[in-house]
Amino acid sequence: MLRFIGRRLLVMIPVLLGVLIIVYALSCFMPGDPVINKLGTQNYTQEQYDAMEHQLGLDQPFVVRLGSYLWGVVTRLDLGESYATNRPVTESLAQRVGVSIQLGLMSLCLAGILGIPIGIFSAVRQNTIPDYTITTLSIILASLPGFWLAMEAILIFSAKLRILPASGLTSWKHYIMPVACASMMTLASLVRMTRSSMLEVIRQDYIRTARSKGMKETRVIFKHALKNALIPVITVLGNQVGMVVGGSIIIETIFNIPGMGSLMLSAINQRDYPVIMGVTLVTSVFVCICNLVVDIVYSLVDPQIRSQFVSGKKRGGKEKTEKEAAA
Amino acid sequence: MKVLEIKDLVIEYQTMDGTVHAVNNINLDLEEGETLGLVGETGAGKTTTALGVLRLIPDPPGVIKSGQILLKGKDIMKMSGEELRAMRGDEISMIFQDPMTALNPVLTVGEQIAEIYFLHNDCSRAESMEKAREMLEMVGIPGERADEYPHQFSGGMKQRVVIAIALACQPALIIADEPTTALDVTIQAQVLDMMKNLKDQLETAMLLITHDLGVVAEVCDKVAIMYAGEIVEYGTLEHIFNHTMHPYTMGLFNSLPSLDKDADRLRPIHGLMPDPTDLPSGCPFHPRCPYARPECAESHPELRDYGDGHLARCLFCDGQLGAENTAEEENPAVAAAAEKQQQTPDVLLEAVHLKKYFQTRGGLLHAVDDISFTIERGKTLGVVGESGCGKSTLGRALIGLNEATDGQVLFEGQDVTHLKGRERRKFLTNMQMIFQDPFSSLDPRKTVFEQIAAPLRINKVCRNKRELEQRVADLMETVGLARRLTYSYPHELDGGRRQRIGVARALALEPKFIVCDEPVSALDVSIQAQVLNLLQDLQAAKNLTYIFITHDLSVVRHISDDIMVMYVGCMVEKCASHELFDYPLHPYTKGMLSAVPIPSINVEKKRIIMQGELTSPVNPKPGCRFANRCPYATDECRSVQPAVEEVRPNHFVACHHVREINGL
Repeated sequence: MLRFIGRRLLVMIPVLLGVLIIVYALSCFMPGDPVINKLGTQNYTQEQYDAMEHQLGLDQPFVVRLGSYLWGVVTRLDLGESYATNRPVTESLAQRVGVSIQLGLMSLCLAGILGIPIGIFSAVRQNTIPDYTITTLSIILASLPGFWLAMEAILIFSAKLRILPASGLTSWKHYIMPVACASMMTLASLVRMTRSSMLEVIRQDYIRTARSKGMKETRVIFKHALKNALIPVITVLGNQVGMVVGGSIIIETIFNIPGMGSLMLSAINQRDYPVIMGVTLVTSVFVCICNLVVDIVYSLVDPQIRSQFVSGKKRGGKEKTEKEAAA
Repeated sequence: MKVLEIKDLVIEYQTMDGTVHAVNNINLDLEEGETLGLVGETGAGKTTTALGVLRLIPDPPGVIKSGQILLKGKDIMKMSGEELRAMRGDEISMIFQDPMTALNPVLTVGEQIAEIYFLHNDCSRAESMEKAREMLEMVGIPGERADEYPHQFSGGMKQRVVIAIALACQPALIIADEPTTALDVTIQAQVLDMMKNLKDQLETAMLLITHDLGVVAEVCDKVAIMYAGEIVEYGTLEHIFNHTMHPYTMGLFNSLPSLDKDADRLRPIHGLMPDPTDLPSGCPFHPRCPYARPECAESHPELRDYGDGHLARCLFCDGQLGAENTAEEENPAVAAAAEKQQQTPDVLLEAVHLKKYFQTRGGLLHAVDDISFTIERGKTLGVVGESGCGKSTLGRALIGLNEATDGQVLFEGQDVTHLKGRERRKFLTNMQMIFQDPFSSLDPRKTVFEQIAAPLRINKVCRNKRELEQRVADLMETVGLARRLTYSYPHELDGGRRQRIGVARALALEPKFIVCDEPVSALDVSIQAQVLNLLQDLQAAKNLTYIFITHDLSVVRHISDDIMVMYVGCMVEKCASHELFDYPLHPYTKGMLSAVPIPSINVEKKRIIMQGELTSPVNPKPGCRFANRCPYATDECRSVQPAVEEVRPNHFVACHHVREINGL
């Protein structure tokens, strides 16, 4: 098991390097010029431009810039300084990431706590009116654009009813709308995943075996079916957890929340390469780690995967004892 | 005392295509300790009846329309949910067909057995686990394996676990739905033997659902033959096997290839089981019955008692059946088949020290390990062995689907082992393969025409569309597919017809050699007989050479000239077909032959039960692979792998002690 984790961590290194190089190249070749953004005006002399370009290090060739950036990241965990604020990128990331994680995890928990039980309920009551209602609603929810949902929510609860604040993140009331809106998409897909995976599992022979043993339907569902049905759901959920760190650009922008998503958006607008790179790096590290965690969770749920982790040596030993026992 | 009584049971399924009459007016009863065999082909309503008894029919779409099911006098139909649950697993338990899927993959086998005690006997968790271990020991699995998961057990072991679950509460009735169909013969023999012993020990009644008359002869006291949702014949073993009355039962017996006689041709039942949404008028069997008269299409026969509790549902079965009005075409090919024996030996295909290894996580898997043989033109070599013995890999290595690791394949003297690209494609027109499962080996989105035309197109055999259509039409006629099916899709056809498509496809390029990989094992006996006859006729007409891979010994005897027995990648015995059955020399062959259930009650047979299971083909230890199960094994067997020797003329055996064992 430890060897497996070690190997997976090593594999992460080329993945992260690849992500950094591709994103660095993409942002550099993007139209627009950070120097002009920084000067902030159309009236500048060539000297001013050259000085600023030199100050930002943009007068050097692309490969040299990429090299020195990567070197800084690897040796000193130095993500550079923001072009816009001149503060270290790590500092602004540290300020913002907490908010995004808080918001993201809350909405994921909400989606999970509601979505999985609703999915199970819908599967158990397949082809009844509650099931049809749930599936229809979840399709509608999944197909609504997030920004529309958020704006409607603001219109209704802030503008008309005046019971919830429309922006900022200063009291518990501020969390309600962003969390609810952010969780809707995940909720809808979780409901549908859980339902279809559950339906497949309850048609399996071993569920028939379980019923023939004379147990209550609730025990059949929770003891025999659920663990099998959750395996594909875990994948979806795991990937979502990784994405949480990147924040939600749409939700954070609409509700004016200082998180990773809004940081990314302003960085893109200002051609603030170091910040773009910083957000990307942090997000991809978390996505990789979450994938690893998902695989470990798999092995807890599914014994067939677990036995793959057992080293060949140990398995051989087991076989031997079996044969001795048989003899 | 009667444990189970089923009275006028009617079960229907409401589907989009109409009402499926799965079970029509069934009456059955079962005494304490008695075993009743419920026999019939796919779709006869056997499993539906069984699930009906447990009230586990999936609802919707299934409905128990009417009838009574009495368990020790209590009507199951009137039980509340609570009473039903108390009954299931405690008084009636069920053994399901496929042990691979019947156990929950995420729970340990111990938990799955213990659950029964936990549910029905108010045992604590620890107590139930303790009892589960005892139960495992009882079915021959070491108790400490209770903490393992199903995937860590072999198929036979899993079925033992399923049986342990079924027997845990010592139920009054066990319903066993094809309990050994998914198992290999030697494992089947072990499991049947164990079931019989445990049943006698616990005095349990059993309803055994099967399509295998051999298994019935071995374990049952009474037999009910089902056809299209009805019981068509009912009686003791003696009645059914020695005084067969109903034409359908006769047809089942005639369709079976036999282990102890060399019949040239099987006599299959013609046609197919009727569509259960649209049963024919009168006797549902009359469209297929060789004795049918006009009256049969009009009135539906009653189940009548012909004395001594022998019931049959036929208007004329009391000695008035008369002559068969079969219009079975006498095949001119059969005469040609007799002729071919006179020809001089002409080796078509030769394998020389053929090896195929696969690299797996656990090590090197020796799927085919040093096999040499020759096949003469126009003959059939049967390859038999249990699952995992490498017989399919051998077939695939011969035609190059798996490139051989070492050794040679010679076809008409030419080395074809490592052909590549265009040469290989050109050569492959000489060799084709018929695959095992006609349900998954055909592309579901292509019509029959496309399936058969594909090899002709790829090899650009036909010059224009007209010629192609003509060729496909000819091929369909050759394999007996009606013209009107040309543009049907595979899902519209039954297994037998689908397998005919597979045969037509294989024949399209007029090969000289065909590898048949379990071509009939997914088919019902009456359909199986039709396909076997087709293969034999084609062989005689076109002088084809077959390798016939199967696990079914009676099929292989019927169709093969020579037989090769494989065990864990190695050839253990090879000789002429009749010789193998009359004078088996290798201990494994002997054990395997004795394990086959024979569909007759007049043969006294002594059975050699082989303990244990196949050794792993991954990194095999030196020595004879069969040594761990062989009663004659010595230290020599465990250290030195025996070479293949010609012990009698043309009879090859790989065993150190073959001469002592057989007194040669």
